[in-house]
Amino acid sequence: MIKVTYRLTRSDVLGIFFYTGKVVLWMGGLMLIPAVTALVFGEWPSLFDFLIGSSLSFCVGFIFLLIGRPSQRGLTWMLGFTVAAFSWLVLMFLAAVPYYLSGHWGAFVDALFDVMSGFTTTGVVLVQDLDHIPNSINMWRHILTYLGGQGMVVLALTVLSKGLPGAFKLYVGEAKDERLMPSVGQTARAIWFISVVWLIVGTVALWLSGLAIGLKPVRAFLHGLWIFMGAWSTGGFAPQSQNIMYYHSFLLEAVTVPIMIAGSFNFGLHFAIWTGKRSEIYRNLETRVFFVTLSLFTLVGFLSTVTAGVYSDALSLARRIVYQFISAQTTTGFSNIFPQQFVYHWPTVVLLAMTLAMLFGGSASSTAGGFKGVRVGVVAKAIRMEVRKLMAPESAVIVEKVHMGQDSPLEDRNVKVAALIILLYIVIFTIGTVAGVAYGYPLPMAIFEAGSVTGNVGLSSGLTSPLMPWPLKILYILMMWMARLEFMSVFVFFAILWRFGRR
Amino acid sequence: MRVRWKLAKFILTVTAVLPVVFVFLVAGALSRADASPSGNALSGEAVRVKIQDLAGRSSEYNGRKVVFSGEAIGDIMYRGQHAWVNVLDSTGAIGVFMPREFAQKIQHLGDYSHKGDTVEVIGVFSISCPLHNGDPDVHAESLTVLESGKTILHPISRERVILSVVLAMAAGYLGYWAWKAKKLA
Repeated sequence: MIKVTYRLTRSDVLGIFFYTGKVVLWMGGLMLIPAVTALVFGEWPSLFDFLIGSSLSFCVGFIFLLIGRPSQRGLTWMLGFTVAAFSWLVLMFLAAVPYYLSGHWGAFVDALFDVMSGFTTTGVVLVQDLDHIPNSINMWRHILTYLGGQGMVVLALTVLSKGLPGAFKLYVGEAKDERLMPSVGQTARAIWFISVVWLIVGTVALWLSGLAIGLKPVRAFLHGLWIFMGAWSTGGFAPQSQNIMYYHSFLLEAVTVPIMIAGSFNFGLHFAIWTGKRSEIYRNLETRVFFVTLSLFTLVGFLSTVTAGVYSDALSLARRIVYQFISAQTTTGFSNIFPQQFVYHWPTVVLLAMTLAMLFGGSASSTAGGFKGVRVGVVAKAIRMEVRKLMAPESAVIVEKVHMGQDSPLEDRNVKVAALIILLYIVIFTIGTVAGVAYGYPLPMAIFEAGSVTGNVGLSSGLTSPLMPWPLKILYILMMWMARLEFMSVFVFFAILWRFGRR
Repeated sequence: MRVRWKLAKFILTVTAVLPVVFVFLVAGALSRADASPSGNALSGEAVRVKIQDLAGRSSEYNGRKVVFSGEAIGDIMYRGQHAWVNVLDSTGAIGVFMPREFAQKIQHLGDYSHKGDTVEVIGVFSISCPLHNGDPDVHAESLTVLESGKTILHPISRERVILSVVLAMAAGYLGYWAWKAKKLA
């Protein structure tokens, strides 16, 4: 047996600090956006909170740069994955500083929780008195979730390091693997381009909707911008504590639906449509899986609530059930009902179907979380292939094709990787459920919340609150982090720490 | 032939999916007893509640006249002769649908810079209002302003101003060294 070992060199460690330092500088710059917002709206205490956060980020970033230097081996897979995971941790601590200073988070761990929830586009929150927070803090919450959806690290490095060799490994480290253009820099710019076009169109549409439903122009603009960011990033953050229910508007809800769905689609699919390959939307495995599973889950929700007599008319049923299932499966987490209704008003079977929808999630290389459509599709096709093999003559060669931009044969390796990642999601979902029950929460509540956190969704049954036990908060932070980075980066990071500790 | 084959495939697929739907339906029917709200509009005196009670014990209060007080927050969203105002108490927030003239009594709405008017609402609660496509809401029959809102002052902490200046200077100093060491290229 060959024993394969890797050795973490001094150059690798310095490289981790160097690349992370660059990402941290990017964070320091970003904090100036909410600082300007605070300046515009005269939120003076908040202005200084952001200046503290920004200056601290710059200090840490420069110190990391001074300590580190580019790795001599270039950006290896190990380094790329470690930088991605480590950067997310450092950024979480720095981004939480203005949150904590604002006084709206009861403890620093609550602020860390909300930052991780934003980065990972989850959307569960521990913020207190959300209806009275400054515009600048709201701006920061939504910027975090918007950028988290695109991929913080790779975007930072492609801006700060032109032609960074091996940047693709960072890109994969952040759980994206769709190469839209020959280089990662060009791919990142394409992702930015797609996102900014959607940002403009979506914000204008939501702004007009806000005006139509009675918001004042400035409020309508800010709410439009933030709701767009929450929808596109599939983060589910909203500026008011009642989430989408605050607006009492079918129009606004309807406008968010295409944005949520588009946000959950693969950037590769967006790019294909942009470049004229419109048939991709029908042929792509992920969109097929998405629409088939969403239809099935919604049908189950529909029939179960009809049977249980929850809603008295079809329109109510459609507006609540369809919206919640789209929100769940796109892993957005927008809600137009009370969180408690999931547990106390809706039939348990709907709650379970919605948990499955949250776990299945959107597309790979998108802003969405969950297993991802491609993995569900690959495993489903593998099962079909095995059944076909059993039914066919022994001499027959059975081939399944997968269409993701182009047709390719289904290989055992793809099936193994897809099944392994799904298994890991199920493992953390189970751990989250057991932990919830162990802390005394009812099983349906624990299942729903664990599904929401594992799928980076953000719908809540009411379990997530500032009063929940702190070990559960930390467990949820870890679950959000691992699920969003799709495990491998985090495992490599812990392996590096373990090896370092044993030296 | 091709059409027949497609039809056969479709029927087989539906047959495969039906048992799953059936299981969910049976489960749905079984859970009906727990889930079904009372749905009856009970007459009589308004019962005093917290907003959390309406969300968590909806079947108990659905269709009943309730009274609660809280802060008017955010925006007044006028819709024709009516308006939506969201009211927040210490346990949560809910939308109150009211005639335009009720909304006009409200002078201050809660946000970062303001504490909104404290209002007492008497109205009928619906966990899934048929008039508003299943919105959980309260239709106000009366609204009283109990306490006028006010502007909230947020004093600037001198320590934080000093800290931000010190940190900015430190960042500038470190940035200079990073630039000199050619680490910013």
